[in-house]
Amino acid sequence: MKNFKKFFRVYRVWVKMVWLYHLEYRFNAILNSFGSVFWLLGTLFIYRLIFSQVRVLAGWRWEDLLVLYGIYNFWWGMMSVFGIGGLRIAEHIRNGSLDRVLLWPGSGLFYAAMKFEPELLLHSFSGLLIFFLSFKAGGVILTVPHIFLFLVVLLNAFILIFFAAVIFGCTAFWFTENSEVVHFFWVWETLAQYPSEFFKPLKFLSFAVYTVIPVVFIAALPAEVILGKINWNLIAGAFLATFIFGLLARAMWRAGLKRHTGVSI
Amino acid sequence: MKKYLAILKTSFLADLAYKVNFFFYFFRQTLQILISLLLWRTVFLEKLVFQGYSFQDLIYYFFILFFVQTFVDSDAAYNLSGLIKSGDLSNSLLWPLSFFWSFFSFHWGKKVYRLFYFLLGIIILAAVSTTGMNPLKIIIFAVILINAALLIFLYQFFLGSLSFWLVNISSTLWFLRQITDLAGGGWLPLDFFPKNLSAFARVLPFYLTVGFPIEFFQGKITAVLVLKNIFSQYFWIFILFFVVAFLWRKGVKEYEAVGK
Repeated sequence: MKNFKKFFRVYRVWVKMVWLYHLEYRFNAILNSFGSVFWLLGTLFIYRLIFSQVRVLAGWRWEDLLVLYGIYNFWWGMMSVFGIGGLRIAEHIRNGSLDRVLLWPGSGLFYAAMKFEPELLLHSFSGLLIFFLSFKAGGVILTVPHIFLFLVVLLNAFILIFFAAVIFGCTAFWFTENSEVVHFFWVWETLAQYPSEFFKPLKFLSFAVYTVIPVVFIAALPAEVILGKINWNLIAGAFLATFIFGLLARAMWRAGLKRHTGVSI
Repeated sequence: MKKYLAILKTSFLADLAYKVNFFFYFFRQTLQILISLLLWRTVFLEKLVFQGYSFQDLIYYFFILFFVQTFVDSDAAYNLSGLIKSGDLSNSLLWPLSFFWSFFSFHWGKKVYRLFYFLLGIIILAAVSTTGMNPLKIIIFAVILINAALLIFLYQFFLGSLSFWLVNISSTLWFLRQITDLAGGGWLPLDFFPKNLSAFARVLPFYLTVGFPIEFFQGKITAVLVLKNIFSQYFWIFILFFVVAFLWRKGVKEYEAVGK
């Protein structure tokens, strides 16, 4: 508990510094915000183009896909603002600042994985707006148990991908230059915006999206919960995946630190 | 010339030193193709022909797209902007070399290993092409691609030079990238868009970088339009070259080595 308090105090100061940095380059920050929304709307435009010619995609209606898309973009925005800091471990290792981070009071992993990118908050709100707008189209079940389960599954998704990002970031202890490994993570993560039924034609991919980086648990599973398609096996699988990834992340971080021969700056 | 070739060689060897990175690049590219095809396969299960394209046509389009992008794509703007923002440009300005040509050599050195991937892909695509590939078509395609790559490099150099005034432009670059990709046919075939949008996109220079090489390879473009677009490529290369030279001269006078 003491460590958590120390971490949040440091994080608060760090967030303030990041705000000031982004305010210094306001034009860049504003363009980043609108750029990410442009990307969100562009993909939505493509979906709308598709649904102008088909009624159903792999059993998902336009309204259902809108729910999934809204959840995915809300999640993506929040993870990009706060959560996928594990990928920054590679930067710390490459430029030698990891040693400094390790000297801070508390868990070095949380400090190394600290992230705050306020420009992408607008993306998150846009995703949330799409999610709420999808309520009007119907299909969403808003009972208290459903909402509670939905929030729990969504929170689990945040934690799962935080650990996955740490695992990928820690590969820099072995590979040093791992920019393509990180890019691979980002590309794999885009699979989360699709329903699991999309992957069925490719058995290995269908297996991998539940195991390698279980992106199906990020947006598709919460969407299915809020749409009333509850699969308890999948939900249990999601929590198990988070637990396993948590252990793996911890193990990789510790093994990586033993290998680390940083040159401080 | 020898000194620039030495920079190209060093850049290539530096990238090759990180072999895991090298292999993950191919995994990532292959995965990106697979993701697009999976989405569209699901669409084509519901509808056999979409905006005049069959699923086979679209597979062909995406494969050509990814291999063309492997050749023409550039992150010169990010690299140049990073050099200016960090102040590391100061070292390069002190060299007894033209910065533009040394940067060009460095940039192409990083792309050499991608050329193998590109050549392999294009050979396979040419072999399965229904419109056929002959030596003349191959030469014209090579010319179009080299022009496209030069055009993108000069455009990226122009954007990177804006860092002399704006300093931090990483997000600006990302935003513009979304627009150029969409307008150039990097997300979808331009035929998928409404007619007026598609016609407008073909007037913009971004079409000349990705959409035009792909449509030429597919055999969807007349000889007159091919000639017209090749001349347009040279026109834009010519304009951008002078704009870049002017901007560079002005920019170096503004340069303050902010990061140092």
